[in-house]
Amino acid sequence: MFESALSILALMAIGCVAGGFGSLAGLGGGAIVTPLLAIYFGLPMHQAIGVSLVAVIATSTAASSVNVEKKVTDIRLGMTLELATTIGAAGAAIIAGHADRRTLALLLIAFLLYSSLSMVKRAWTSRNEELQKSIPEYKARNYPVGLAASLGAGAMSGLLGVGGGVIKVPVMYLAMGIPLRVATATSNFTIGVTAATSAYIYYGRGDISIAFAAPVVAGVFAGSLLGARLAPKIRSTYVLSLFVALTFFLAVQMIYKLATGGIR
Amino acid sequence: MKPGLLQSEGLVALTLRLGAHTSFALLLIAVALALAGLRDIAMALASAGVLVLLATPLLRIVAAMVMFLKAQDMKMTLVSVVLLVVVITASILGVKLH
Repeated sequence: MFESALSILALMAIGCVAGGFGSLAGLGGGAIVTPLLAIYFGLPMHQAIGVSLVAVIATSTAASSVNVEKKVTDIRLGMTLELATTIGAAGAAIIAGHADRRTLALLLIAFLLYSSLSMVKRAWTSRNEELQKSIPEYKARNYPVGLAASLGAGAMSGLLGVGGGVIKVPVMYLAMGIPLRVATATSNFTIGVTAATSAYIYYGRGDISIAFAAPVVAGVFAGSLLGARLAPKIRSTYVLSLFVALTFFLAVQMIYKLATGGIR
Repeated sequence: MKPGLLQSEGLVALTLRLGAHTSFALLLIAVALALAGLRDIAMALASAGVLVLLATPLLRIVAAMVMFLKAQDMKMTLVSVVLLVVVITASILGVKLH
């Protein structure tokens, strides 16, 4: 059943921030949704992850419908990597069903700290970055490395309800020779099918609460639309800095809540 | 043509856009009704919105499969079919295992 009007609006706001990050910086936003729901809405970890997975599908679907049209998504590469991400996601989603909340919370804290730190560097180097307008010619290489990383990213997605872009994008960019813009769009594209695979398992287990998912996802769509409009006007340094601060703050909050027994 | 990018991604983009728009519309109405206190009908629309969203990635694989088949790209058609089998098997297995 739906919560109070105030919490419906708060859930929409959470989705809006996640969707905004998604379209502004290509960040899934899943890293934000799971901890926010677990910390401030007292949702059990498994359900927080379930709702976050749906939010991640929404971010991916909204962004990809634009990216595919603009031809920045490498569909062939994305779907090949999906062979690995889906297997990782399914395995992890099944394991997550048997994992206790403490293990999941600790993994999430580690993931938040990693995301935060990995983005510090990107925020710093993007200070004077010009928007990459045209896509250079490229040929994907090192498929085994890409597939292995995708398996890991998929597992991360199924375990924590995140997109896994923080793993896939650097691997595609650095190891596979994919231009950053294509890597970001392609990672975002694969996240939808990946998160859906684990979401079906969570749904079957009854871990996707419609009352929570509906306002969050409505917020995600609104946030992506807003983000797409704001993108030309906002420097990515600011967006990335905000993401770093937010994920770090959430990691600290999660540690505090876990220590004081506030995570269900 | 850039390597790896397709000439026509129309069907895939259309599937994603339709899924996103339909789900967004249903969920917006659901949230508005929930705020107005019409909880039961809000819940029904919310469920429909979430289910449309959950089905979209699956339909996107089917759309890509059709597209690759038309382009006579047999390798990618096979990848799409395998992917479809993996996703469907995983979900059935996952639910059954529980």
